Amino acid sequence: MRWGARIVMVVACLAVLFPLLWVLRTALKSDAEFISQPAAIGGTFTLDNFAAAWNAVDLGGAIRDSLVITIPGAMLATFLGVLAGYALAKLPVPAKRLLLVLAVGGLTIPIAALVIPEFDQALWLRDTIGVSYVDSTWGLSLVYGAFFASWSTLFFLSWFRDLPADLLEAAWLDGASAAQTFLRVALPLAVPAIAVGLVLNVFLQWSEVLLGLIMLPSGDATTAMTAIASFSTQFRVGGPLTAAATIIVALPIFLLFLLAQRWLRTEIFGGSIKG
Amino acid sequence: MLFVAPLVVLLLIFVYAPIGRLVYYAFTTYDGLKPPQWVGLDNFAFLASWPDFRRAIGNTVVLTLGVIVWVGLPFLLAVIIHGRRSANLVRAILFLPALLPALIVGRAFRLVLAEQGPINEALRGLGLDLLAQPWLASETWVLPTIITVIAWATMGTGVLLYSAGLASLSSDYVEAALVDGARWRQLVWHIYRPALGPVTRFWLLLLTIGTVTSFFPWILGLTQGGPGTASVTLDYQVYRSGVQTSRLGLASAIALVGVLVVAVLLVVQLVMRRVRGSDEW
Repeated sequence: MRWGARIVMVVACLAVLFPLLWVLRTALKSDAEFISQPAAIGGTFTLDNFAAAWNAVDLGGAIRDSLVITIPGAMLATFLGVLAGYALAKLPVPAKRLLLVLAVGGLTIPIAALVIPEFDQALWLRDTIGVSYVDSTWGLSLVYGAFFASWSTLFFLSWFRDLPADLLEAAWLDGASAAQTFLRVALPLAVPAIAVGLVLNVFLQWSEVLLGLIMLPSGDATTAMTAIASFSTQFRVGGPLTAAATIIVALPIFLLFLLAQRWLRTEIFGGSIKG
Repeated sequence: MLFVAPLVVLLLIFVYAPIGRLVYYAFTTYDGLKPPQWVGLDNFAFLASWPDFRRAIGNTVVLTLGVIVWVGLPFLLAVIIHGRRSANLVRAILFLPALLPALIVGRAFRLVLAEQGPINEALRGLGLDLLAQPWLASETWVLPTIITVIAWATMGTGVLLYSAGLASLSSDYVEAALVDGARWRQLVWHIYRPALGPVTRFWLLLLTIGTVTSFFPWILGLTQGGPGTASVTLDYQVYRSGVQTSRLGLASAIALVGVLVVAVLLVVQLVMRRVRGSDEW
């Protein structure tokens, strides 16, 4: 069993690392070499593809747009989730069941099902009141904030549910209002969970493809995922250029996760993972 | 009530109002330019006899069966890794793909699984030419390949969840079973599997809402539905009919069916939970 386990662990790690390293290797290849010997490991190593990809579709602009969209979007989803999650876990809210169904119902609806009516509704709003959330970064932030508020609510609901009630009751007895209790006691305790909620929201919203593709029709702003999706239609799929573009777009999120890893582990996986 | 109001308002505007529109469009023909025209059940009648739609349902069902792999593999790996010296390092490596968006994972695997890519070349180099396949361009192999890629991407998260479950498990049971002479296979099936039931239910729920309702980014990244319609899922068909060919009424009808399928899946999970008499995830 001992050797069997070691072999399984090594094979699993190699299986995970190989595709990642392969993308890196391809990104470092010259185009000519990729065409003649796509599967060769040796050969030249060049950084030219990164510069070429960066200039080919304005990846810098796409990454900036994505950040401008996902950071407020993540803050909004987290804000809604913290408030609703706290209320549903700790406060006597009327029609709690119905509210819960309403919040969770949002999770079961595929984004693909909603993009068309979402877009139409945005056009309709623009025609009737002159202002709309279509074709603007703040508009997409709003849509993302609402779409990803559902799981945020569930996340914070389960977090606040585990918070001991006596902490809050002490504040109640001191005569604090519901809002004061929330702001002075519950919120400070929830800071690590809020950090995790923000990071996961940024990741999920950054990864979302379809809304980014549809809700920004003029192309004035482009999300990073849209840039990657359209990259393959403009250039040959699977070449060193695409590999380099893929790495560039994956990098910001990779770094965010690495920075936040400590919190993520303890918050999501209950702190019970020990060596 | 004030705490919940912002959520409710935004959900009503951005999620539930569009759902209302979706339901209406499903009973119309609509091209996005002229106003929608009521056609009753025509869209659904058309879907019932449309081979592409049946294919999309079939593909979605087959891919959904992938949960057996997406749950089973991390479970076994977590059990194998549990308590070993390099466990933390292995878990950290396995978690790396979880940091990548589905679209990016798809792009990576298009390189790795290409006709002349490293996997096929390695197989040919070993003299196993017969095993080399156009993985993503073959009618037979495309769905199993997609299931495998999703397994690759989700494995790390599953392993972390199961490891957390294992860490909080009392070792008494395991030791007692070992004293009774239990084999590894019996240990896994009779001790670990039931003890980790709550983790499995939670992980299943995550996979259902995170992956099964949105195969779209995987399909877009890996195959764009091809070859032909061999890997078109329900949500990808919505994209094809609605966004690519502007049959918005038809696309809405497909989307509505998709919403119902997910609802059924969730109800099944809920019922199973009730039947087993446990209210935990």
